[in-house]
Amino acid sequence: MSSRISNVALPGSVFLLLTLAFELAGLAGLLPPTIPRPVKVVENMVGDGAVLWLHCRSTVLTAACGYAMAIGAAFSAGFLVHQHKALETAALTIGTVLNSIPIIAVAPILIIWMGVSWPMRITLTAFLCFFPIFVGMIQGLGATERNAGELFLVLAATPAQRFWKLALPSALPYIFLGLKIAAPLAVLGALVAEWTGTETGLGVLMINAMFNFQMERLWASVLIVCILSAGSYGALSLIERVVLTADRTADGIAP
Amino acid sequence: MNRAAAPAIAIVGRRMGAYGLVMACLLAIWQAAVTVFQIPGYLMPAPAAVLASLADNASLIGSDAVFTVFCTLAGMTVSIVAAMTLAVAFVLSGLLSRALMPLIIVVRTIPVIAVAPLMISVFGREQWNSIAIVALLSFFQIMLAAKKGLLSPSANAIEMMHVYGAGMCQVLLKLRIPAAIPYIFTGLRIASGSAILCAMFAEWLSGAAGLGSLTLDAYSQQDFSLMWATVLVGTTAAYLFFTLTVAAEGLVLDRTR
Amino acid sequence: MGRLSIDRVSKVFDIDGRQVQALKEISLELEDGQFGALIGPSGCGKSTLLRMVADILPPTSGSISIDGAHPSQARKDHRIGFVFQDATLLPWRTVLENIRLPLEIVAERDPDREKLPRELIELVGLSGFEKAKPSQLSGGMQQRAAIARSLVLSPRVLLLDEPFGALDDITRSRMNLELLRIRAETKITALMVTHSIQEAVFMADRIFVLAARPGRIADVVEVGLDRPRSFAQMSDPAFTGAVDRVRQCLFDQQAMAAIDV
Ligand SMILES: Nc1ncnc2c1ncn2[C@@H]1O[C@H](COP(=O)(O)OP(=O)(O)OP(=O)(O)O)[C@@H](O)[C@H]1O
Ligand SMILES: [Mg+2]
Repeated sequence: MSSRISNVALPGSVFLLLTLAFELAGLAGLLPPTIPRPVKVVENMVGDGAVLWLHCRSTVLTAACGYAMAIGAAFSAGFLVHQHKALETAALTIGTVLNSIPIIAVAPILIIWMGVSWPMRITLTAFLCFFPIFVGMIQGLGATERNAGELFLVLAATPAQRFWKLALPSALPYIFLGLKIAAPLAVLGALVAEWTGTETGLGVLMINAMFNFQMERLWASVLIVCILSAGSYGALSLIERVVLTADRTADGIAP
Repeated sequence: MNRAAAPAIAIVGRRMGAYGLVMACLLAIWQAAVTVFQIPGYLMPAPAAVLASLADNASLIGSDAVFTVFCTLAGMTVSIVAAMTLAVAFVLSGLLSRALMPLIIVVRTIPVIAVAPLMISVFGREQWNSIAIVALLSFFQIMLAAKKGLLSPSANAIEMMHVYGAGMCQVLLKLRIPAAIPYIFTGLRIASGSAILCAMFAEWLSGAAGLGSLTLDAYSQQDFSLMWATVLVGTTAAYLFFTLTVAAEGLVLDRTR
Repeated sequence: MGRLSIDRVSKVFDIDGRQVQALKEISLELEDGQFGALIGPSGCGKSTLLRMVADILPPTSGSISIDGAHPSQARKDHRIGFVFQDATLLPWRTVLENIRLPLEIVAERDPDREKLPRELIELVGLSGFEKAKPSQLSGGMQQRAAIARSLVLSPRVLLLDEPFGALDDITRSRMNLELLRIRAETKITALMVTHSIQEAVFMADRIFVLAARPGRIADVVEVGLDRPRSFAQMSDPAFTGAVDRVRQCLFDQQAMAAIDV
């Protein structure tokens, strides 16, 4: 119990000390103008609260929609590949090729196709999140225990029953791994889309703050982005812990 | 020396050959698609046009590529040094590890590119920004891999070293670091593939010279052939980087085994 | 109903382009309600034979029939129950949910059958553990849950692949008695793979002793012991006689194999 407290208290106090050190250094005039004092950043977050909230909302909306779209796409692709094993290599190859196109090349194509619009933002986000979820899906669906597969064969289960009752539950640990990796990427996808020239979003706020040298606002918006990405990862870890019982690890099925 | 390097050269040759083959196939399919479906150049330029643009702008693309590669190499060097130092410190001091590791695990979930505007403000619009972003990106992967490797020797092996009277430094030099080398290379391999693309992204955002800015310039001048030519060069450089790491890994592991 | 007949079944595996004959011309018969045991050296193809009966693998040649039907028909009609060597329970389902699984797959609404899982839980002595997850059960309890699951669709033929291999002696003996009791209640035809000669004689009406390379039937031993069986019969001359005969057959094979080498 005491070790559990120190597990939180130790890094927590290090974080507070670091913040304090920056504050003191700032007060002593030791920090460059690009690094504001933490107190100033917090002040800005409170003072600019309404603006930040507005832009944050639009980023979160993009990220959530793109994430959902990526899940839908990865799930459908995973289902298809599971029902028709022959598609697996093709699907993975296409996925890998798409994944290796740099995002700075994808963004212009999407803009040409869809303009700077909500669909473009969401698609770009989904594009970025898709691969980890898809790979998790494929790996997980392939990780079904052989004996369990034979059990479903003896029971004369239909392919759909096999998917819903066997493959999907055994794939969950892998799927969660993919979902966890993809969640911060959804935030990133929304930002990248915003950097291509939208009018709202934390990305816009950041870039404008950067150009106008509003360092407090820049740091505040970056801080929010950090909280969003780490928070989304953390939230998924919590959901994972609730959904998967302790006896199930990333190996899929307990011994 | 030459004989020892031969397998590494063979690895690089084989992998780059395979890459060239795959790329040639992709470009052929792409060319066929553009020709058959009459896709207009602004949607998807034909590979022939892209390759022509690559030849026309060879010196421009070349000098920008050199800049980007330099930044990537510098960034990776910085991150290797920092990551190794910190990994060793974590292994030597449990307290330090317990105090900092949770923070690092949280920070690691934040995509480095998402904080790029802040890095640009702090590190300026020149090469330092790209170097810092590449360093930050590679740091976590290499550090965590190195730490895992340093902790990989079994308790038995460490006890054996103690029985022979080895001190902390000797355990580190003779046991932990050799054991960590394969792990470090795994981390390097993961980092090396994305490092150049990340540097390009940093340039894309900051406007520092390099392939990333060239991509953006080409796009804003609606020169899509040039844009895809730079992307092609960037992707190839990323794959070359990855391959060189794999070859170096083979070379080092051969020598230490 | 419940007649199993295997007629000159052979199985050839293709291992990296090399043809390996796992089983050669196996023929065996089990009458309705009979208990058969398969015993033989490791790798002689016992599991392969069982998997062919369950239509998991197709035979290379020969034919198998269950009540005169092809195994694939019997499988689709849910006339086959299979118990794997490890219990193969789905870890995310409770004991009751695991036992209900076959009913969900059949997906027919038969209120009589809906009561069956609970009755079977009682039959295998797992009352009170309905809500437990497999990881919370001992190996023997998991295996009993697996047996209950294999019975939930009231199959005619029960195939058991070393079901008690991982259990200690005492638990194993208890499980043997329970399986015999279940068999007496359900009148099911059973074919069980085992490595224990005592277990084979104690459980079976008919023992098929297999030889290896290629897998073939070396001897068929009829066990003339009365039912219900009890441990007291283990000193019966009929029991020891059967044990000796099976052992002799297995030993002779080993001797032959030694000469071969
Ligand atoms: N899927 C397969 N592919 C190729 N060869 C196989 C396959 N399954 C089994 N074999 C081969 O068939 C032979 C018989 O295997 P089987 O598992 O039936 O043996 P067994 O009698 O059950 O052995 P054990 O008592 O050890 O379980 C072995 O030589 C094995 O190598
Ligand atoms: Mg077997």
